[in-house]
Amino acid sequence: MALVLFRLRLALQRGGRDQRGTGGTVWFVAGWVIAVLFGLAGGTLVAIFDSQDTAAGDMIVLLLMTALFLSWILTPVLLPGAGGDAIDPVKLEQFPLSRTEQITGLLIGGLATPTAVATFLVAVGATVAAGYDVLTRIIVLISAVLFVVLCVSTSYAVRALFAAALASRRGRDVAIIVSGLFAVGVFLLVEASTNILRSADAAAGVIGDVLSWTPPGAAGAIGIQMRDGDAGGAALRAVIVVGTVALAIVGWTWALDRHVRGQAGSSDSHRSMNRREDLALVPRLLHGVRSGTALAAMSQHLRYLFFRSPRAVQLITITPLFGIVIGVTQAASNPLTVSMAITTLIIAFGGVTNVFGYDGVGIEATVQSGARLQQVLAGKIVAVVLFLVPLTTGITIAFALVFHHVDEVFVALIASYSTIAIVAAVGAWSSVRSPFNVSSASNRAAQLPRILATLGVALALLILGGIAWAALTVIVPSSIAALTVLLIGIVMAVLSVRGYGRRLDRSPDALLEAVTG
Amino acid sequence: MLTAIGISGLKKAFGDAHVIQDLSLTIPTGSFYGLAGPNGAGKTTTIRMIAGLLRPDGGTIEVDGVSVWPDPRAAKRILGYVPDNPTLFSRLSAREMLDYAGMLRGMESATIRERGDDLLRVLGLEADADRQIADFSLGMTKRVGLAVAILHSPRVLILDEPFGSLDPVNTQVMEQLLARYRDGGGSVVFSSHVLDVVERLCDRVAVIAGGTLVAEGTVRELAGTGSLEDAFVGIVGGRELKKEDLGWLSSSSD
Repeated sequence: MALVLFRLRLALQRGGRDQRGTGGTVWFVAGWVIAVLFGLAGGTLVAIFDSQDTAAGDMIVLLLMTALFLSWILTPVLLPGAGGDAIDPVKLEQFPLSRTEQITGLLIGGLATPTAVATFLVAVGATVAAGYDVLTRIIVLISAVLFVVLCVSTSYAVRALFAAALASRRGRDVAIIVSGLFAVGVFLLVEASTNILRSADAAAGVIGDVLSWTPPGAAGAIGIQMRDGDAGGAALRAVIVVGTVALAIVGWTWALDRHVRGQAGSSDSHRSMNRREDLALVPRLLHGVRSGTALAAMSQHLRYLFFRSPRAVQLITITPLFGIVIGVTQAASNPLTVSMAITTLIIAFGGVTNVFGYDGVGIEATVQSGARLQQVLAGKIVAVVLFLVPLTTGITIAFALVFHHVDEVFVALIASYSTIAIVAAVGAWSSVRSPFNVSSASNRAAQLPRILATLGVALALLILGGIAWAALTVIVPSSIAALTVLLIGIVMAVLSVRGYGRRLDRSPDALLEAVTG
Repeated sequence: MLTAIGISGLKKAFGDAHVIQDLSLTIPTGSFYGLAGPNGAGKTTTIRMIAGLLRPDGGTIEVDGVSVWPDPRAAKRILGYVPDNPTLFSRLSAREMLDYAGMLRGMESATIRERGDDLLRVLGLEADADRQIADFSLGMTKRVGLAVAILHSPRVLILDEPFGSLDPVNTQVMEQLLARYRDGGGSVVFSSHVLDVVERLCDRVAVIAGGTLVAEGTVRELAGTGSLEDAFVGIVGGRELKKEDLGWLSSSSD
C-alpha cells in the first residue's frame, strides 16, 4: 500500500508538471537540478568540514544540519499550502487504509521530492570524509537516511498540527503567536550563529556539543561520534533521532485522527449589533461609513485578513516580521527613510498585489451581483492600506527611537506612506492582470515568475521615486520633496485602481477563471 | 405574453466541444419554468450564460427585456442566481454573506438587516447565522445561496439543481418560498434531474440534449397521459443494462 501511495505521489508530481505546460516542465526539471546541485554542494561542505576533525569543523556541520531541519519545519508554518503536489491525507480517508498504512505511504511519498533528495545528499556527504572507516561510513549512510526521515516526518507533523490549530479560533491565535515567535527565534539563531562563526573558535566545542543533543544535530553527530570512537555516544544520538521521528509521527497521527473525529473547533463569530443599520459584516471601526460596494469589499477583505483566511493570517503576521528583520539589518547603515521604504515594501507587497487571491469561489458571487468591480478593487486595496498605515507608522516610530533617528521620523513616515501608495498602484495592476488563487499551491508555483516581475516593477518605481525625491531636495526642503513624492504616489494609486478597475468591469472572465480555479 | 428570458441562436464551445448549438428559448414572465436534460446536456452552461457569468460565442439573451451580453451588469441587477454548488465566501458567516450581497446590490443597511433576518428565519438558518459557511452542510449552503439570490427581490430567479441535497422539510419550504415569489410576479427558472419536482412545480418545461432544444411545452403536453420521467426517457433516449453487465455485483465482496 505504501508503494501505491508512493506511485500516487509521483503521478501527482507528473500531473502538476503537465498541467503547467512547457513552463511547468522547465520548472519541474529546474527544481530537481537545483536540488541535486544544492545537495551535492552541501554534501561536499560536510565532507570537507568532517575531514578536518576539528571542533569548529564539527560545529559547522551540525549548524548546517540544524539549519536544514529548521527550513523543513518553517516551510509549513510560513507557507501552509506549499507542496500542492503532495497527497491530501483527508482524501485518503475514504479508502480502507489503516493509519499506519497512510502515514507510511505519505512519508515514503514525501521522500520522493527534490528537497528531500537535496537534504539526503547534504547529510550523506560525510560518507566520503577522510579518516572514516568502512563501518562508520555505513553508519553515516544510515544516519543520513534517518535525518531525511526526521525532516520529512517532523515537517508533515508540523503541517498537520498547524492545520488543526488553524481550525479553531483559540488555536489560530496560538498558531499565529507561535509562528511569529518561531520566525523571530530563527532570525536570532541565524544572527547568533553568524557571530559565533566570526569569533568563537574556542566556544565551538561547547556549541557543537550542545547542538549534538538536539534532534538534527544528533543525526549529524552520529558519524562524528563513531569517528571519535564513541559508539555509545553515537547510539544515544540515534535514540534521540528515532525518538523524535516517533514523536512526530504520534503528533501527525493525532492531528489526522482529530480531523476524522470532526473536532474542527468552533468558528462562531458572535457580535453584538447595537444599531439597526449596523451590519455584522462591517467591522466596528467602519460603522458609520456609507454603505455600498466599496465598503462591502473592504469589510469582507478585512474579515479575511483578521483572522478568517489562514493564508491571509500568515500574510499579516509573517510579512511584518520579515519586514522588521530586514529593516533592522538596514537601519544601522542607511538613513531611516531608506530602511523604512524597504521595510514597507516587504510588508505591503504581498498584501496588495493579489487582493482577489483569498476570495476563492466567493468571487463569483461578487461578479454575479452586477456590482462595479472597480469599487470592489478599490475597497480591497483600501482595506489593506487601512492595516498598513498604522502598522508602518508604529514601526517607523519604533525604529526612529531604537536607532536614534528621531529627527528623521517625519520624512521617514512620508517615505513609508509613499511606498504604500506606489505598491498599491502596482497592486491594482497585478491584482487585475495576474490574479491567482492563493489556496492552490500549483497556482502559486506557476505565478512565481509573474510575482518576481511585479516585485521588479515595484522596486523600479520605488527607485524612481527615490531619484525624484533626491532631485527635488536640491531645490526644495526635504519635507516638501517627500510630500511631493507622496502626492505622486497617491495619484498613481488612484489612477491605477480606476484604470484597472474599469478593465475588470469590462471583462471579469479572466479574474473568475483565475481565482475560482 | 411578456418574456422573462428570451434566448435566440445561443452558441458556446469549449475548444472542439460544441456544448450549446443554436439554442433558442422563450420563457414567459411569471412562469415556473423547468430546464431538463441528461448529464452534460448543456443546462448549466446555458444558465451561466443567462446569469452573465459565461460569455456566449454567439446569439442573444435578454432578461426582462434587458440584454445580458456584451455588458451583463444591468441584467445581473434584476436577476438572482443560485448555482448548483453555491459560490459563497466560505469564511464569512451566513449573516455576513447576506450583508455583503445586499451592500453590493446597493441596498440600505436597515433593509439588508431586516430582510436578512427574515430569510435566515424562514430558511431555518437563524441558529447558525453566525457560523462560518465553511462549516455548513451542502444543504445549508444551498439555503444561504438562495437567501443571497433573493435578498434584493429580483424579477427573475435562476436556480441550478436547487433541490439536490435538501431534506424533505427544507424542500417543502423552498417550494413554498418559490411559489410565493412567483405569486408576487417573479419568474422562476430552474434545472433539475428530479423530474417529479419539475412535474409538480413547473408550468412549462424545456428539454435540452446535446446542446440543443429537443422538446418544449407544458408539462401535460410533454408527458401526455404518462409521467414526465417516461416522456423524458423517450425524448432523450434510454439506456438499459444488459443481463451480462456487472455480473460480479450479484456476488458479495470477499
